[in-house]
Amino acid sequence: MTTKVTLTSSDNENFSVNKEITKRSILIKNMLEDVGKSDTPIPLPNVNSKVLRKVIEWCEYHCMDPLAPTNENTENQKQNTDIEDWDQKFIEVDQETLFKIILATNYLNIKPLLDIGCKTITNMIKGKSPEEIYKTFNIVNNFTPKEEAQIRKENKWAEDQ
Amino acid sequence: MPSTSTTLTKFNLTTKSTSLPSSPPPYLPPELLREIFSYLSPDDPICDPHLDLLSCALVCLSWQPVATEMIPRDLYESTLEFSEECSRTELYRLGELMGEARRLKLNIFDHVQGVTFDIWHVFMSDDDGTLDECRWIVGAGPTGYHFQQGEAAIVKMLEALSSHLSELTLDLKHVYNVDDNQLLEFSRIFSSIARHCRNVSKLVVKNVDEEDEACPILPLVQSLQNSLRSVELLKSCHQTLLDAIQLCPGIAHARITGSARGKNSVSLMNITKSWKHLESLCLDVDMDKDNNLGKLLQVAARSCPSLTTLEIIADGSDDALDIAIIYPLTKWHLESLTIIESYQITSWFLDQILLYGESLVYLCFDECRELSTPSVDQTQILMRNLKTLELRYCEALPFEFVELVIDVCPRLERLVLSEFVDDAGPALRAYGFESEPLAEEDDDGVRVWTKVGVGVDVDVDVDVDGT
Repeated sequence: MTTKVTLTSSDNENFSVNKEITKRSILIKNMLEDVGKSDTPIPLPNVNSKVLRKVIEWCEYHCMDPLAPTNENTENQKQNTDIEDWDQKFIEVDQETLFKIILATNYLNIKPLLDIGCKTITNMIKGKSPEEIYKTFNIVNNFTPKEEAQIRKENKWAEDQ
Repeated sequence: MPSTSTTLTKFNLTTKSTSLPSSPPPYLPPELLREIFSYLSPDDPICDPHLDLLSCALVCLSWQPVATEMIPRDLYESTLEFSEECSRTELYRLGELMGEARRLKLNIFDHVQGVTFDIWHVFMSDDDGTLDECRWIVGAGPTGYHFQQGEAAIVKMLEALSSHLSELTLDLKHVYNVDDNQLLEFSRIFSSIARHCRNVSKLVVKNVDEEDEACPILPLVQSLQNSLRSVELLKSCHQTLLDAIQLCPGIAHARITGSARGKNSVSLMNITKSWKHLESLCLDVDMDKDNNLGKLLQVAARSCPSLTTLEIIADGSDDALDIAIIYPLTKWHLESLTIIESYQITSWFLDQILLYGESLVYLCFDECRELSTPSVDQTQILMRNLKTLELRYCEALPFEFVELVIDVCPRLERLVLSEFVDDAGPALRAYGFESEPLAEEDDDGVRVWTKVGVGVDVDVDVDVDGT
């Protein structure tokens, strides 16, 4: 009785997914509502197949969760960076994938998964020095003398004292 | 196979670093960075120095504005103070981050010029900020301190502040029963700390155990002797500390509070002896009968030719203040005189103030309940330059005194009065004063009267009857 939807990744791989499951993504949910009954595949040009497979895996596992809680992140939840066991295992991926999952879920608008991704990054930041952080994420520390003037401009608030 | 993300990360990092130049940094748009950083805001934003956010602000140019924007603007005040919640480890980390910000020439901390250390907290607490109970015996006080860690945290912070540091506050609350070994250790630490305080010109010391023989911070004070311009000893009338402060020749501003007994009071009495450059002195001290506040002031009168501001909180003591104050007034051109809660000063004293107070611009006698009508000939009054007169709760002083002052002081522009509010209102308005609306909720009867149109040409001969 379940209807399937086809999602196409950026590298042109097709994924046939239960329609209800795709509704975890607010973006796809809205698309489906707009299109109505249609069998045309939904192209997702911002998500490659590797990441899309992960995202679908997460949606399938969480298909029984109450759909899209309407309440936005309350302050209470903000403080809590605990991640459930299954999600914790799920998100144990290399960093490149982690960042891509975050970007993909932001694009697909899957808030709970986005939260998990963000919390994971946050947990990697906590208690670290700037140097440890940019080493952890392989970020180029681009505070060079050339940019100093600009930083000072952006960073005016300290002068308001 | 790596089992955790951390291992993966490290593996990832090494493979990448071999293929230099490194791949572009993972790009996250500001709204996602904001989402990530929002989990870093501390539970209690008031007493937490937002270290993780600060750390993020120092990572790279794209992170910097997003993280900085999430740190409350007024979090780092011009004097850094740390709450009890702030552990020594956090103190150390903040010092590190401040140093890093300075190295990157970010101006987040440029306005910070002072720091307050709660010595007991820095040396006594456990790394996570809680009391290290195994080093504490109820009733006996501290039995041991984390000397190394405490010193490291203070030095890290002082290094970060470096030449910007001009104000240092040391609170010695709870530091008592220091034994010889501990004293030795503290002395070593405080003389080594002094190396980082070359630009400190203001020193505030709080809560030194006045009964104890030794004073742990003494070496620091001695090292700063030639650079100190301003000193506050709050509840810290300790003999050796007072003696060390007395030897600072450049002191211009001093505030001393506390209780000095025995040899502490002898030292306190002579504190101003070599302060030739002293400009302002504020005293709220409780002293012995022989070595009293009056004698202290006489020493100050002789030693401090530049003294222009004097504030005495007498707390009802019966020290002979009046004679002691007349001397600096007539001799050294006192401009600002505040005496609070002295029952000793009388109408004779007030006469002298009126007769000789030519240099006075500001006069305050709050709660001097015995102060009564002066009996001086108006033509002889020299106190003609007063701008502000404050008389809160001077019950024995009639309104005629205020009128007299208004008459002889054409530049008078501010009056703070608590008595005769109802009767005097119309008269004061006739003199051109208006009462300011009360800012405080509790109406304690105090009214502030300001001259209307000050700054315009003030008419010297106010015609009372004409209005």
